[in-house]
Amino acid sequence: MIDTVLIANRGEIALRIQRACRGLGLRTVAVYSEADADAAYVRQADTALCIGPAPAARSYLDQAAILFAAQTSGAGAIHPGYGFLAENAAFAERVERAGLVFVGPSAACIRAMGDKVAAKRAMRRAGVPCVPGPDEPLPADPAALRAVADGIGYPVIVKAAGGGGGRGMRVVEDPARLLDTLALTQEEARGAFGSAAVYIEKFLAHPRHVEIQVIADRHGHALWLGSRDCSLQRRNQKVIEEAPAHGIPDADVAALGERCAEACRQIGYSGAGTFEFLYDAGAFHFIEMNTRIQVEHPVTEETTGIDIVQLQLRVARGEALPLTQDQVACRGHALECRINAEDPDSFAPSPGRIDDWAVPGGFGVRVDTHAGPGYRVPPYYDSMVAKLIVRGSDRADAVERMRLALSEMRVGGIRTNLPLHRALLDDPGVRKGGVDIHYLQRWLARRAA
Amino acid sequence: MDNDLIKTLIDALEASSLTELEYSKGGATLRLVKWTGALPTHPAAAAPAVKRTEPAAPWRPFSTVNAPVFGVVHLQRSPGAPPLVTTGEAVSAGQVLCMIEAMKIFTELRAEGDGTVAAVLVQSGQEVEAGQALFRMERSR
Amino acid sequence: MTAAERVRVLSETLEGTSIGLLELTTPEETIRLRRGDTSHPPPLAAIEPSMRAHPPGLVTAPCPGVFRTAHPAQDGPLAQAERHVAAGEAVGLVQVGPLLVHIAAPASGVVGEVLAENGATVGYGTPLLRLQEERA
Repeated sequence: MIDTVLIANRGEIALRIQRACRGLGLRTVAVYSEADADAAYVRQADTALCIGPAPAARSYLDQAAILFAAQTSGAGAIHPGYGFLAENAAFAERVERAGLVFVGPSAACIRAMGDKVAAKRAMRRAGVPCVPGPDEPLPADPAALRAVADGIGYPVIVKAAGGGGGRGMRVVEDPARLLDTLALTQEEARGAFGSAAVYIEKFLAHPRHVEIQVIADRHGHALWLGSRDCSLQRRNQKVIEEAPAHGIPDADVAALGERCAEACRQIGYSGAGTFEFLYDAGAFHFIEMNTRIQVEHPVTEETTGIDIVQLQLRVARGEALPLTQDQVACRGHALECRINAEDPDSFAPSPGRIDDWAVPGGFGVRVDTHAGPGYRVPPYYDSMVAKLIVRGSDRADAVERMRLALSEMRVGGIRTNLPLHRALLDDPGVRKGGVDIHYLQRWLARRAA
Repeated sequence: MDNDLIKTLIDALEASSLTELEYSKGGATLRLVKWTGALPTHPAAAAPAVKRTEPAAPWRPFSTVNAPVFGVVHLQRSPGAPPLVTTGEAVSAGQVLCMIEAMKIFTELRAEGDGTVAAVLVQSGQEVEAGQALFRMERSR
Repeated sequence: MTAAERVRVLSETLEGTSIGLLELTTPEETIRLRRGDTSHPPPLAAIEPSMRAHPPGLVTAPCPGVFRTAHPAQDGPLAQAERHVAAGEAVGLVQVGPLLVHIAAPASGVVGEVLAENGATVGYGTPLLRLQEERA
């Protein structure tokens, strides 16, 4: 029986997990780097152990130091949060080998979903819709290659198998350019990612980023907890997220959600997870599965009334899911703004001491943050200092509540992207909803012009 | 002590940043030491060298180069690379003196004019406040 | 398993790792495997000191664990005031389950005040003891 959980993360998610543990009567172990020694959540943990100096490679990514801390503190489970070691299959394996519970899926699941081709194949088998394109190595014969692209339909996109984050990909609109582009991408991939392996997919011009939250237990049950839209992104970093995805027929989302839950059952998944899709012209296309809790999980918590982090812990300690799919409902609409310590115009990072701090509150407002007045944002990690989450009876109500909350929030001493959020909540396109994943980049380009 | 246990311990040491491991049980002792080359020097031990380079000479046209933001200063391009500049080195306008890292973004700091590095006031990897002096420069006439 | 077989298995295990010395002592046998440059002894516990500025002579914990002032299988305390130590010699141990991590003296000197108690839980950088310069 697990009674103590080590939280192998920092910042707001470390505090979020700590609260979930306390709610379940579990003792908490905070591990921290020297840069986070003064953080309030570290002091609030039942046990706190410093695991290394500030650089993440020597603290939050130091698997041995974390396992040493677990052994020393008597923790029975390790919650990895998001980022750092959350999707590291080797770490999950080491945790299990040490006789501890990894709060997340098995190492095999993490590994399978981390391999794009294997993940896509598993999704096809479960009936999860994927971007049209083969999930096997491309043929070498030019005529066969052309046939593959013709089968998908132009425009197509050529992607390096080892790439990601927008790197190593090219769009082909003209069939005559296919072979040249393929050769060029292969050459680049060889240099940049050490492998010339590329694949071809249908290119989607104006997709939205829509995702499905799932939770599965270790007894073969899996539920989907609704949809989210995270299309407002800058350089693949989500800026504003919401639940549910606006303007998509409920029946379509439900059909998709059921396929995702079925995929979980088929691959033997357990824990929380997210299936990410591109939504274009009324169709969903699987991108990847994240095998961890996500930053934007609160919008789903607010619309379903389910504490996802507590559920993660409960299934990790072997409990069966305490509810069935027909008990999961989506009520109202929730938005989340990621408040980052960065210049709202140039996006240059702005670490430092917060000397003025006022967070909004009231009905339907939630702030998840580890910061406060006097908190020094360290320069070593990511720039998110708070998540501002609101719930409304519908989307328009949530948008108005977010505008009020943003007007109440004040962070001084460092620069934050609060002015950007305020401007975005005034933008007609954002207020209407349903924008595509390139919308924010276009908006920023217009603003700069 | 069986070979599987020894293998497990070797893996544990290998995967860690530690350099030595000793395991004792039932009268048997295993000691493993990583081959790491030279001992790292303690930063505190290296510090006095910085102060000594500050000349007590008569007045000269000195100025300081200050950190533009709170962050971590890097005096090399990458760990193990030679320092970008050293004390006594002549630098020209626009030459990169150091880099400031904040939230995984590196900003290069360049010399404003031609001159000589009179003193390096910080150590690589150190946290610096916005406005903190990093180099003392002697301007060329 | 014969001694020869054991040496072969252990050598293979060490292949491809950065481990330069393996020493196994049991009541029946002693095996010592060393690789690399044999003209210099491998550095002892070259654990990087904490990046925080510490007063010179302060010895801190290299990792989380339980502080031990003496080796459980050896006589005599390691962390004891007025004990003379050479650079690299153990001045204490951090125990993590069955593992004992050496805390090496950063320089030769005399152990001063021992700041952490035997059996105390320590984290990275926890002050353990002071090391004073040898009086001339």
